[in-house]
Amino acid sequence: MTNFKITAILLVGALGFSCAAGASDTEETLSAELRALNVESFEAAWTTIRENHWDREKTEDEWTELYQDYEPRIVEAETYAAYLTVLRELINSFEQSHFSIISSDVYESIVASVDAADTGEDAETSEADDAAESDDAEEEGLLGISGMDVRVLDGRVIVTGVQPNSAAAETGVKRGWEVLTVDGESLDETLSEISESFEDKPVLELTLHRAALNWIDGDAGTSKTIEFSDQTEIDHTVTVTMTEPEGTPYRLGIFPPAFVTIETEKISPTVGYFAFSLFLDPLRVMQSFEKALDSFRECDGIIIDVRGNGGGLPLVATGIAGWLSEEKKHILGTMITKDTELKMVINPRLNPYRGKVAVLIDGSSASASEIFAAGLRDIGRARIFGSRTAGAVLPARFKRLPNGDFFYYPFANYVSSKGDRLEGVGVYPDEHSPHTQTDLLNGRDNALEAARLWIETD
Amino acid sequence: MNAKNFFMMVAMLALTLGAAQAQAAPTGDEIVQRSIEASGGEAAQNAVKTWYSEAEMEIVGMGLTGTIQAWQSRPNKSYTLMKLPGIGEIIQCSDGTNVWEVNPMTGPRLYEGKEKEFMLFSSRFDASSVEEFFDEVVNEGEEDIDGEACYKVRMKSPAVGDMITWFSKDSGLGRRTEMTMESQMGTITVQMDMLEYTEANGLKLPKKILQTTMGQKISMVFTKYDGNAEIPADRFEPTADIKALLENAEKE
Repeated sequence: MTNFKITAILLVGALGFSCAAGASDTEETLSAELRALNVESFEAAWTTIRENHWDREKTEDEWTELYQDYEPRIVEAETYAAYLTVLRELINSFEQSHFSIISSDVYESIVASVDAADTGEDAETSEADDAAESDDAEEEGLLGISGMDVRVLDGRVIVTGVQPNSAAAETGVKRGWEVLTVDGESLDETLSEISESFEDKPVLELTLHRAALNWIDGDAGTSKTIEFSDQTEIDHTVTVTMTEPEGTPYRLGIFPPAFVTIETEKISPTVGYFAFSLFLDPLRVMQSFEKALDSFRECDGIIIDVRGNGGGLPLVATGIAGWLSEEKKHILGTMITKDTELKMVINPRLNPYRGKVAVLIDGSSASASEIFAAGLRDIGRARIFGSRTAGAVLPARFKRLPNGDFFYYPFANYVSSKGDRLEGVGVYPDEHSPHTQTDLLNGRDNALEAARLWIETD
Repeated sequence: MNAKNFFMMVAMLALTLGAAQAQAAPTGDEIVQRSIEASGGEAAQNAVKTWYSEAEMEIVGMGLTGTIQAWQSRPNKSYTLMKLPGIGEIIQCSDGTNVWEVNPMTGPRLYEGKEKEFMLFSSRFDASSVEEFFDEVVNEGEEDIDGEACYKVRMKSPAVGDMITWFSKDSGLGRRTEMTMESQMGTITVQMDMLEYTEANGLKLPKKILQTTMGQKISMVFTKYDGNAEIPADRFEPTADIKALLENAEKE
């Protein structure tokens, strides 16, 4: 399971489509002790919500009524599946992002698969060791990726990116190819169900994206036969063997570990490009950004690509913004908690970058990505290209419940510096420039090209 | 934070609690004075010119643990270094005149306004600071804190806001402190429960503290208090980044 999928579960897990987080839903009747533990977990989750939710309009009676709607059902739940269903119904009732329950064994398997993939920097292994590792991978559920990124465009799964030197690249997969089947199975029915469930919701694209990656990726060392179409009469069928993600996973407490990818280059003599997959691993991301900026100082503009970036630490967003702003007292936005309001103040660096800034977004840009994009635009510092973001913008925390389940919950509302609510709405680009299959097949990235043109034009 | 993530700056108040107890106010004298005596007495407090302390911290429930090291020197110099795996090192420093922070995410910054005033206050461990900052000390009556009978004492300050301390009726020591502080992000109320005390240099000092800020609990366990420790000469000197910010601020 890739870290994108983990992030997506955390963001949208409460919004109904969370089957990937429910692998351990079981119908087995629980012992009295386990049922009591589940009740204790419900109480812990409820108390956490009650103590942290920022809704100042809800009356005490309304909160009590809500509790009474669910507590008896938890007490009666004889199976883990029943308990989880009730708890998820509770958090779904808020219709807000960043509410998620990951069952304890799924959470443990996520951590274990990342731990197994975190093989360290010793590259000198013998062939026998590598073979043994590959043989073991399937048993351990080693985290694996195909190396391709996809988006669902007009109901079709389209390859939008292929990592160099990845398994997908080595089998010749190209951007713009449509994924028809994986091991003979189509995703059409699932995509239809998702589209129906999330119709008109900004998280639709993120949820489709997650489903598509779930379908394609697999444990490292395992192989999948994938059939593609390239809009010609030629279909391509390749066998992709999943590999471990590169790099060292980022760990932050009990938060599921994640691999943060960073890409930086000059795409033309006057345009710098910086892309990163999460607002996590702050030391590495901030140092990489500072170094990239140094190399882009003479550029007319820079493009910051947060497409597919599921968010992370809001302070990383303000930190990067600090390199792009000269003004004190600029804020990206405001977090509204139960008791107070906290402004996300940008601390300008002494030598900020003063050229043009373009931010690329899409439907899988979420949370801190949205705060970042909207915030920079609101202070007049960036122009946004791409397509609408996921509208999943609530500051959140996490904890383990008594039964070991991982509980992710929002503790504050968020409004932009102009007072706009982003949750459930998303950030709209200044220039709508989404991917299309035809453009991708022709080697064109619409948002990137639009941003580059804007920077290069006076 | 984080929040962040959801992630907030931890208010480095624990290290000033010893100072707070020494800052007896004339109003509510009996309670506060008793607290001073219970914690070792004014003479013992005045005998300490510097402090070095270490603590282990945990952001409760999130599995985030880290360490804190703090250096203090009279009258109001303090340097706190917090190390959080996955976040990095966060430094907060007062040289008695300026207050700054270096954060791996947001970079170096100078504190200003009420936030600066508060941190200058928090950095003091001189008894005279009570008279300087608090206009009035009022015993607001008795309250139980987790079953422990306490006096609730409010110290009123127009400069840094009110600080409420609940002093144990039994031991005289501070059991809980609550204050509302101005941070760069906004107004934050911080509650600190002193759950356990230890002794160093003839003084009773908080060993275990549970801080609650915006619903998030942070546990701090002090593993070392070294009174009259030798402080490195340049401990409170601004870094190059901070010096540059100070120079820039002077030009503005």
